[in-house]
Amino acid sequence: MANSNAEMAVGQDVISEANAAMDKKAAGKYLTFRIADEIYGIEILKVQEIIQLQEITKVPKVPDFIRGVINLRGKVIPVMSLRNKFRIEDIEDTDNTCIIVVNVSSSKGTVIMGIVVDNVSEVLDIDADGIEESPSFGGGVDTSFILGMGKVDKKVVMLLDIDKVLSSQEGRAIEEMGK
Amino acid sequence: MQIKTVTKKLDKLSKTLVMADVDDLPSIGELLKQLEGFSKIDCKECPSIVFEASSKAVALAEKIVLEDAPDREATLDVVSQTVSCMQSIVRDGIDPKEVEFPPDLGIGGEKAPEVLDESGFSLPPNVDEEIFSEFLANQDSVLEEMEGCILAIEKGDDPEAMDVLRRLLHTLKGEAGALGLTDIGDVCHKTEDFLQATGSATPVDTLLAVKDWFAGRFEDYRSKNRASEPADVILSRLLARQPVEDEAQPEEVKEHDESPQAVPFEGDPTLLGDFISEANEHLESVDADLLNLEGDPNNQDALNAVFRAFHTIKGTGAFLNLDDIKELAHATETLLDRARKGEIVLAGGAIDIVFDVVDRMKRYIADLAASLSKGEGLSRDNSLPDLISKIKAVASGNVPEQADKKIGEILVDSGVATPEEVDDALATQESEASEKKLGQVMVEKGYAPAKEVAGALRQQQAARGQVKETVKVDTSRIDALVDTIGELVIAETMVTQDPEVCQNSSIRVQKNLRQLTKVARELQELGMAMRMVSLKGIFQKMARLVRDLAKKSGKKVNFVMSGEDTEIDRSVVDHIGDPLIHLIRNAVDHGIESSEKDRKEAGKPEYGTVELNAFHKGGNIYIEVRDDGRGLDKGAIFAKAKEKGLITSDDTLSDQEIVSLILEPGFSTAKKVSDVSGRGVGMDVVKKNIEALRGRIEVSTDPGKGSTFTMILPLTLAIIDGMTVKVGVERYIIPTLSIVESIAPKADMFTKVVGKGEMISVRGELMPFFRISRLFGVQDAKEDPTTGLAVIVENGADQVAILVDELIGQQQTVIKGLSDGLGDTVGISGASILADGSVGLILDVPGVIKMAMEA
Repeated sequence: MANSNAEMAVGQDVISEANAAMDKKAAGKYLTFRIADEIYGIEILKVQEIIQLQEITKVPKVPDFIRGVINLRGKVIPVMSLRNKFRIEDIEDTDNTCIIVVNVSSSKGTVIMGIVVDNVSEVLDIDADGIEESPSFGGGVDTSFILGMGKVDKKVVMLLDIDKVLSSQEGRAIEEMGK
Repeated sequence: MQIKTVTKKLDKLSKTLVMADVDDLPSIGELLKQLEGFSKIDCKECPSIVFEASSKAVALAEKIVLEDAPDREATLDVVSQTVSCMQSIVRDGIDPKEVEFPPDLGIGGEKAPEVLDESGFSLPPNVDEEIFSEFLANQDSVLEEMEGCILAIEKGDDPEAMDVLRRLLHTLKGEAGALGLTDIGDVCHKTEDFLQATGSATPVDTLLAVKDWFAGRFEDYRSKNRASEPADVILSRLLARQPVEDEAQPEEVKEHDESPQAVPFEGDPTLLGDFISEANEHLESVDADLLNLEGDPNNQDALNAVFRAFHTIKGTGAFLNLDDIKELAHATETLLDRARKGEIVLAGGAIDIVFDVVDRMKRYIADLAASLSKGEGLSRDNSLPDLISKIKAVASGNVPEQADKKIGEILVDSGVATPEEVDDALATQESEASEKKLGQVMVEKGYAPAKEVAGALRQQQAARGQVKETVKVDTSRIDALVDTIGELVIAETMVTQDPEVCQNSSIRVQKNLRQLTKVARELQELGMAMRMVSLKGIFQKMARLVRDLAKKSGKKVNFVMSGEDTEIDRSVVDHIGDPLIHLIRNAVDHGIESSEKDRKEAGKPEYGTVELNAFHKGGNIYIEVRDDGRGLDKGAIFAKAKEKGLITSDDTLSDQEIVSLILEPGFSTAKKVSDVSGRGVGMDVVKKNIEALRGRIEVSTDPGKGSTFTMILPLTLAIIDGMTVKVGVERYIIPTLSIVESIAPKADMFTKVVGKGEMISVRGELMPFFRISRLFGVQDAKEDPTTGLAVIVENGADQVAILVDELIGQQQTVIKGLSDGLGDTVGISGASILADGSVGLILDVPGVIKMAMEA
């Protein structure tokens, strides 16, 4: 399994070209969480920790999906809201709202970031057979930030490629998509 | 071509050489032509090195013609030496390996193997890579110290500088020797001789060249390169400047070579071999005993042991007809004998000279061993008489210098005794020839109470043991430690200020918490202190810069520095070098009048003064560059600024406005201004660097009297002294350095200017007024300015007022960079953890002003 994870990381760049091939490689452990009614998954290797929601300091003049910065044991890390990012209607934070701290690789190296989600569900082991290629919505819709659709017990889990979700280029694409 | 023809050509060449004169270009041209012709000859009978040498000579001759050579006479000499070497190979049939080409040529028999060694430089087998890199790492500070000494020697105001320099060279020589860096060792050695020969009239330029050479060489070693500048060049420079009367000097250079004056061995080689090993053993033990003696000058056992060793060496040396050894040992023996009798104290300068003798003997014996194995004679060492006369001087009680303060001086300094009393006590001590120490005599005579003498003795001991012990630590570890301490302090604040803890009225808990706070703060200070380095190194560089600049521009400039022991964060030091260089360069180049006449007419001393001062003031470091030159020409700056459309009014300019003008990029590079007013070149470098350090620059100028540039810098980049302010639900930190004042505005202070937004009038001065809440879109902030506070901040000459709800307090906060994940943030320069554990954003004042102006 570990072996397939490593291969998966290598293969991410070619998702769009070889979705079928990717499905097998995307197999692995995923941390699933819920935003609105949908279930999403992030590769477990990208997750550093899960923390309770804490006071977030707003930063002026940043995109609206950045909620601000928090103090993670002396480190200042940015926190983004996936709701805002995905253009899902905002709701009040609840007791279940929490922050998943992820390590994102960007062009500048690894960045630690927090993502605010409605609640965290569980860690799922999804094998290759359970993953279907991400649906195509036709021209103009970029789905490259979706690794694939995982099927577990009749539930559909959208497996996110967190690097692509958070990179600003794709961020803009998502915004475009939402309009 | 026949070898005969080649010989003829060579003869003709040497005739041309005799006629050649550097100032007679046609003659050099003819020489060049012949040399070129010669280098193209194809003669299989001649060794190829001849032609290689001739093509090198062509290059040299070309340099003479093009006036490219630093010393054309010397270059011509090299050419003629080369030709004569070529002659001896071709005509006299000497093996090319025996012929020594001039070192400047960069080729030749003797030197070739050495060059090969250097290209593939490897450490001696017994030397650890780590030790080697540690040695190299140490050398930066050593070189700095050396440079300081050299400059002090030039000034002539520090009698100890020469001795310190000698000590440095000596240590370096020893270390280099142990590491097998023969070229460094050689140069050290020759420089020592050079210092010896020239005395106080040492040409400082040569010493600086030596220092630069060391620096270059260490750099080469660091990168494991071959020598970029072979030692020969610097050695020849050292020798060239030696006084003429020291005729035998050239022989000393070639200690290992055969020389006409070499003294053949008369002794039995086996006996000599025995002597060598025996003497080495003796000298080793002498070293150890001397070290003991240095710590305790009254250690009779150690003294006797040293005496015995020299006595043995003297006896055997005399038996083997080694006159040098005999004489040296004899003189030393006399000195030691006097010390044994208590006539002199073997300490300070006296013991130094014994160490010198030991070193000299070791070298002599090493030479002896080398010559013996080669079966050659040994040249006489001509520096010996000097050393011997020095020993004799010491033996007659004339100690050259005492590194330590004498007990009498300490007593006088502390006001316990008067100089007369000490003199009297000294006289008594001498006349009685007693073994009593001065302190004892002083007490007996009632000049000083025993307690004071004991105190002075302790002081003396302390001064001797003042060498600080240091450990080298990886900087990344220190950074990690400081980071962790920062987190600890935050955690501590969070605990102690937690509402639940605060409610706890238990005295015990409160007491313990206070203790925790205290320890945490101490730890923080210690951590910061670890990152601090003194400005000495960078100041020393500036001293050198001033000297070189003054020389180049032909001005007479005195350089005065103060506060070089001021400590500043390592990260800051890295950034102030460039701005300092520019400021100093401006001061020397443009500030100081170009001719002494101008200065005299202005009623100023012939020597211009450039001052470099550093001091602490209000949590910041001030670094001041001051000159007593002609000052800034405000008129010219004003005219230029107007021409460029930077200013429109006809007001006179304040100093601060001038500085902001000359800091304008583009403005600075304008030739016109730099010619007329002096200042300007490179000022944007200064500005950029200082801004990066979150500092600022101030200037004050007095036309005709000089100008002062002051850099005001934070102590560290890791901590910021900031004012925490509340704006709506948010809290921001404003760097204290940018805050001018804060006022509670009144309604009648405000004016609305069409197209320019709000202005506030503070004591008659109108400045823009911005609301942070609107700029940053903060909710629930006070809208009515009269209920809030206006904080006046400045960026260079720009002053603006920003509205905040209230001031929370001033505190030192550890700066945390904003993560890359945020992208570009405007108006925010970083973040910091506040006392309650939440994140406070640090306002970037220039950014906020820019933002507001654009909005």
